[in-house]
Amino acid sequence: MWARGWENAVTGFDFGLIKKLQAGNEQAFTVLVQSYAPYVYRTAFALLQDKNEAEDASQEVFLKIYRSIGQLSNPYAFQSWLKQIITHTCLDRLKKQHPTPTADSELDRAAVETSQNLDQHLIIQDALQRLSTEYRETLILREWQGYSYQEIAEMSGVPVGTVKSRIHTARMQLAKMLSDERP
Amino acid sequence: MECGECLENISALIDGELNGFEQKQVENHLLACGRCKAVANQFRLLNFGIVHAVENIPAPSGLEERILLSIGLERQKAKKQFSLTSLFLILLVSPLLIFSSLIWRFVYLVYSTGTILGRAESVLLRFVPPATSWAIGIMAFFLIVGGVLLVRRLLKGFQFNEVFS
Ligand SMILES: [Zn+2]
Repeated sequence: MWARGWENAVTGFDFGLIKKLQAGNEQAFTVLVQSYAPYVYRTAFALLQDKNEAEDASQEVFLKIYRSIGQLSNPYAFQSWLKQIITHTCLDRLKKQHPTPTADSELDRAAVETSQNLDQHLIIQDALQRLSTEYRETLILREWQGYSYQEIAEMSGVPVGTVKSRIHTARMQLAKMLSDERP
Repeated sequence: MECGECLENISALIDGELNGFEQKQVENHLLACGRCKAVANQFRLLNFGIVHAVENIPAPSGLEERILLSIGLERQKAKKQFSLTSLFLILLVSPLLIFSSLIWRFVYLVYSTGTILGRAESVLLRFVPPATSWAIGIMAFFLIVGGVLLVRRLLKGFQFNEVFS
């Protein structure tokens, strides 16, 4: 139920496309990129909070798909396979990232703060950006990617208890930020 | 159950991560406590808010083109690597071909065909006047050129890359 973003991205998926991709059909790859690039980018941005990093990560994800689609034996596993590639690519980048925020994200935040007519989704995007990296990472993996606490624990290399408390704290902090934003 | 304990478990409840007993306990507390229930509702709304927020992250324009471009570069790199590797392998293996009887048989075939054609030519020259033999030669040349052009035209729409990559 909470993996709504993910489900929206994959409904109506053409499994014949995977067979074409595996046969090396260039046209099929163009179709795949056109239908998935925005989803991949949004997920990467939600996790990395930086436009350049998110774009680089998106390119990396599709290169990985291009190189290893032949090894995918079950086309019906494509969706979770893709989800895993995105998650691992972004988590690897987060591990290498410096803890200082980039100029890019600071600019974005300033733009959001000075805007008079704020949409709800912009307020939440801004609040997500203000969360610390590990809280945001855990929450996005749960809410957007739809992973269970156990799966998040394995991917992030922390105990399930830590995942549980991170998600809880992240929600508390977000709720507080959002109530502060309201006049 | 106290409010503090309930609050700690509200996230796990809405994520479906509690076992049956824990779930029942938290749900019972929520029925009785308005404050905790408000937090639970707020968290549920937050879930939809986050999904909505991520769905509305604007993707940069030209993203798809740039991704396809990077894949094109990768494909070119792979092709170059493939041809370099095959060239290297051919160079490595070619000295061994001297020992292959098949190669010698092929060389012999080319040689004997040439000899037969040579003989046929000298016989023809004896019976056919030179002007006619020139005419036949020029006609044959144009036929070959025309044939090659025709084959190229037929194969124009054919994607070699898709077959061999
Ligand atoms: Zn309570």
